[in-house]
Amino acid sequence: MSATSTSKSKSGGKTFEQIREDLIRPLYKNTFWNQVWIRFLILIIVLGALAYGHQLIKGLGLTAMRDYSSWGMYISNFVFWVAVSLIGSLISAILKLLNQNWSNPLSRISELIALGAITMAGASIVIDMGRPDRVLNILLHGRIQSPIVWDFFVVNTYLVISVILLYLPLIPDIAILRDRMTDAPKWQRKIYTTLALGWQGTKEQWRLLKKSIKIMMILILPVAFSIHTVTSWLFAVTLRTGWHSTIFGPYFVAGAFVAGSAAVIIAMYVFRKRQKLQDYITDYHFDKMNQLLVLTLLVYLYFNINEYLVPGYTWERLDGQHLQELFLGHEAPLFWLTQIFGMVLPILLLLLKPMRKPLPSLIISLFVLIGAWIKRFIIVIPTQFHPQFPIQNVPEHFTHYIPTYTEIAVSMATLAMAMLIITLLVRIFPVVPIWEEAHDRGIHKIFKAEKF
Amino acid sequence: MKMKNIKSGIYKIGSLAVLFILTSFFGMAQDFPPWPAPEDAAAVQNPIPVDKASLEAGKALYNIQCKACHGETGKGDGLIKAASFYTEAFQSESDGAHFWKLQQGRGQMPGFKALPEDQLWNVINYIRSFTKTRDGLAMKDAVVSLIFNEKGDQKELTAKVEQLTEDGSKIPASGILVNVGVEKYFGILPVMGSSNRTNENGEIKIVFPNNIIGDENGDLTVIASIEDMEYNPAQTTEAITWGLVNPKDYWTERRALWKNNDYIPVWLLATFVGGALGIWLVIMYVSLLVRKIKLEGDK
Repeated sequence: MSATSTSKSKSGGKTFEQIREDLIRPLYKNTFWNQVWIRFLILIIVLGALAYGHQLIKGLGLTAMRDYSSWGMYISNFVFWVAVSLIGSLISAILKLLNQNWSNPLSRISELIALGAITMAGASIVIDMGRPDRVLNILLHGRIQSPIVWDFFVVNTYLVISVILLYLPLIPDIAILRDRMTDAPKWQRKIYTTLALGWQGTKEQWRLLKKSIKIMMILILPVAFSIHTVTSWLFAVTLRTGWHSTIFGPYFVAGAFVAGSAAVIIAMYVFRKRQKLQDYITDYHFDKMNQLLVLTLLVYLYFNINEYLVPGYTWERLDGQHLQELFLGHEAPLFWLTQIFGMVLPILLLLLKPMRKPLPSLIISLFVLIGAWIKRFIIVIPTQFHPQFPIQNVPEHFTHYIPTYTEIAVSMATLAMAMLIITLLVRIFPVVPIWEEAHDRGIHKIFKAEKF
Repeated sequence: MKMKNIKSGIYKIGSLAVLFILTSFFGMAQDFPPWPAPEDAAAVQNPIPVDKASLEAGKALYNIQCKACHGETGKGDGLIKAASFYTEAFQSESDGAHFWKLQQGRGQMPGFKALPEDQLWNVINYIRSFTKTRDGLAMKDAVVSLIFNEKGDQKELTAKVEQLTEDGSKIPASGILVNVGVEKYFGILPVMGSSNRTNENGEIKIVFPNNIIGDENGDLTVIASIEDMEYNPAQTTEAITWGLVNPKDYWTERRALWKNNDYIPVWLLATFVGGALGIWLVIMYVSLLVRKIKLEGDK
């Protein structure tokens, strides 16, 4: 159980140099499987790009979106990506502001996921447009009252803030890399020298950096909450059964933290395995992260009960039709699969301590994350088949929605793209913050300032 | 599931995937691939003669079921891309073949098996009339005029149809189909008399409703058009102050959350602009701090 004790007994017997070497070592290893992985991602992206090119030429008719289901898989993906991106704010802002220091080694993983996810959230919206060249019209002719304009604003702002919040805590680490990795390729050293901003670790630099990080940690909170609340309002302000719900904002935010926590646990497992970080991402971190996942799942369960029990009790005409489809009808298999395997079972299992070990929690998190995606699909699609006016005189395929190959290929490409962003960034930057790790272990020698 | 089914399923998915990739590159499929009708169906004779009644019934049905896609005059220029009735491919086929296609439907076009057969033949007669002279019908010219008559509260509108004879004189035409209506925002609101065919004086008398909303002066635009199959199309438009005054101050022009930027609530504008500016000012402030870090390092 040395893993658990490291986080408790200060330095864990490691010197600063050992920590630094442990965390830098993966940057030197360009293994065969790593290259295969990157090429595999690029292949998926190329296939998706071809499908997207085809869609650009032929139009959105290539998708399964028709008169009734005018929002399809792309919008589900968008909601999913926004949800996943919120984890950056939870771990590197909320937990830090609450002095939950155990999460420090996970902050960069969460910020990387946030960056990859929010980039793809923005991309998903553009992909869903038949005329992406008109995207700037939202700035030129947008109605300020429209949630779409708010969404456009917050998604872009959150992207910028995510980049800044990823970058700021990286600066001291980049300086370490700049001084240590003098044998790296020239372009890599150039990146380090430029991005290190001449970091010397002086008292004044630490003061400025700490101040900047603190400001950004506070700033990201309202933006993070508004990005997903506004995303939920895109649905909630539309007078449609299943969407027109007053709890949609908190419901989405709670669900976002679930999806993000699961994504972080998966990433923790992968990086720990690939980069041999057992001494830094320990069983203790998995235990804590899974407790966090249970907490978010319980909050989400509470909102789910609210969301389905209240209309289920009154069973108003259209609500009744919609819930009938979800509970017993056409959507029932998907609905119950996600609710049980993506929410109820994970809660029950994760209450048991052995299930919070790395491997079991990886499997549970995969279920939670896939469930989170299907849940977005179930929120977006079925509602559209219960309009206020009945569906009449349309071709049969207008009355249901099954994604086409084009949509699946393009969606897979966004998934691959998010992973590629993360993969490439961890090729040149350490996954666990070196200076924070040293600081948490009581090593202060790199900090020229006595206190930072 | 049996092994064979699984195998054929895998085979199907595989070939679909290949097909998908191929069509991604070369998939410029024809808009309307050939659609031959079975020979026995094509050999069926049209039992309904082309006459005024058939054409009028055909037109009525066409306007409901076909016009949206095939367009007013059958050029295929409706809301979605549809076949034109002016092509060689269409013209060369028999009435029987068209009848079969109407019943079957294909792609976006629904089948009309549920409709009575003679109605479908009527539609075919009507569709043919776009390009052919209306067999057996000598087309005549007529003019329609509007007469407005107000007695106290009672408003009476008369549409009078007169046939133009060859020597230039006008004679009242009776039994002519005329549509009378008022121009509204999204189309024409029909204003009906007891019949929409002219009486023996060539007139249609309509008791005009008192509750149609006009513009800000109460002006209405009345339209009367000759829809009769034996006559070339003609219409008359006239303005009359017979409508209700449209109240300028309607509630939809007040400030509301869902209105356009001209009616944006002040609090909302302030919140959005204030929030956006505030956030970006903070981001800029942090950028300045980062710049200071760099300046400090350069020292």
